[in-house]
Amino acid sequence: MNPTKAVTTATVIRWTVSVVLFFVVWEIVGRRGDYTAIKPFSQVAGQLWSAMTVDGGLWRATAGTLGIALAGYAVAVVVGVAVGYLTGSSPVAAATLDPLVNAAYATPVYMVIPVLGIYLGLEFAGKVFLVVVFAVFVVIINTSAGVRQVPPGLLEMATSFRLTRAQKLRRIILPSAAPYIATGMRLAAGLSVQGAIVGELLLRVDNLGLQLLNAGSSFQIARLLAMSFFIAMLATATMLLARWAERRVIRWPR
Amino acid sequence: MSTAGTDVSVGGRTAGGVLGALAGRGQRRTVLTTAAPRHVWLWRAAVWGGLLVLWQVAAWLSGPFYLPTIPSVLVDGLGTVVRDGYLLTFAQSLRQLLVGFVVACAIGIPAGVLMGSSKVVRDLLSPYVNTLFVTPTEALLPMIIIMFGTGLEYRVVVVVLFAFFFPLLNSAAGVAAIDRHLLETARAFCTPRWRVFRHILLPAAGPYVVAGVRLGLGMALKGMVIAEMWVTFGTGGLLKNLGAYRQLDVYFALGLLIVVTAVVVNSALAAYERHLRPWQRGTIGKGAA
Repeated sequence: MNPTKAVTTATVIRWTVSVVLFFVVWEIVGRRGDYTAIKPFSQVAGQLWSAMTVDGGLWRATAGTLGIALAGYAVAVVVGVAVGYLTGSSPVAAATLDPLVNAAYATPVYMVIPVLGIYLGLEFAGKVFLVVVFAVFVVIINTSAGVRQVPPGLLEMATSFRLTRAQKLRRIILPSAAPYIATGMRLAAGLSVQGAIVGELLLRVDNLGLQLLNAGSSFQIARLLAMSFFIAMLATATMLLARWAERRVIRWPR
Repeated sequence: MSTAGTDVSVGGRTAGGVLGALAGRGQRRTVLTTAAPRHVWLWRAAVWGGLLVLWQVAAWLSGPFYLPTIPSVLVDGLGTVVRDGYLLTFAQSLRQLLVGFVVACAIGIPAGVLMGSSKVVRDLLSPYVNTLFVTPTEALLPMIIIMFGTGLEYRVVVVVLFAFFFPLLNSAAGVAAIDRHLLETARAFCTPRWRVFRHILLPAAGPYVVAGVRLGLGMALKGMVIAEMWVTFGTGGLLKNLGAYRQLDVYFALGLLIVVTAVVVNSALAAYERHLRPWQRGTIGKGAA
């Protein structure tokens, strides 16, 4: 589960060739103008640059969206770890809650969007809830699996040495389940950003959703591509950050 | 109940990106499933029944404008779903989903096998696969609409974009998980290619591919709902309108139908997966806590 592998020079060269080729083909196809939806990369990059430098609107929008993602992420992690611990350690909780969690995990969560406004409104609370629904299940499932794989021998030993419940949790279960929880938290980070962007697009349109839809509705195609590209880069950056954080946790001294 | 464990070993690996996925092999940990308590169904009846009672009380207190009662969802709601032809709409949506999903597998599985077996292909494709995998596909919808319009093509493309990652990443991980010694032995004994395929490749990679198909199908359903909701068409459009016009009994009935479909398909494929991985069944039943 630890994606540390020495990256060889050959790999780096292939990545570079592949990415450069992509941008070159994009530029050529865009310049030929055969497809209305594909503008040359140079034009898109220009739009991106101006959006990033002109009035700071893009950065305020990014901060707004990430704020919602972060709030939902925090709730999802706290709730997810708690519920995951419960289903991982209690057979009764596992028997009753696991089927519900699995069902929710298999269900398209977008279904809640049309009625979310009724219960929580289309603003901050509704959006944060959407983020939680996106992110919480992967935390629950991973935490639960992590708690279940705690070596039974260790727990027996803890019982023989009369460790209290809190001590068992702190000294044995948490360190042993940490890599699993970390994986859940990494996956949840990406899902949180996704959920926040979905909220900004489909609840009350705002922040990054507004940036995207404005460009789309006025058919400024280069601008739209620039915004989509920006969101892709934002998601990639989140993923890299989360992966880095996960590795730090996995090397957690036991 | 061991589906949770399967999800983790597969999901944790794939979503780490292809490189992470391939680096992670050989580190499989067995996940012990907590032993089922006695009287499982009694406990379930108590907890699930409790949740339903909670819903019913909340519905009584808030009124049908906010939350429909359970009988009204099951009788009035489901009745309308059947009478007004919403079942047909759902079936049509599912048919389009299937078209997109077949395309997604036709792209994803071969590409995944290639990525799993050739390091060059893996290096060339992984920047895109990893970037697209983490990019919220919803943010690409305006672009896709400009490219493909809002018709059938658009909906199929969205389903493909949602669905092809898991078949791809899992096929790659599955091929990479094949025991190299077995392959070498087969080569040493001049085993015919089809026998290698049938007796080494398929048993090793099969369960991964099936898991990828299962997860991909879930994603395809998500893609279908969001694509239709965006342009107010089909089942997704129905959900959107039912919510907007506060026909909540029908909304929840249709939602229930979608959830049941998702769960049934998911459990069927998960059962097939367990059938393909008998060694995992052996670990079930040992209590860990």
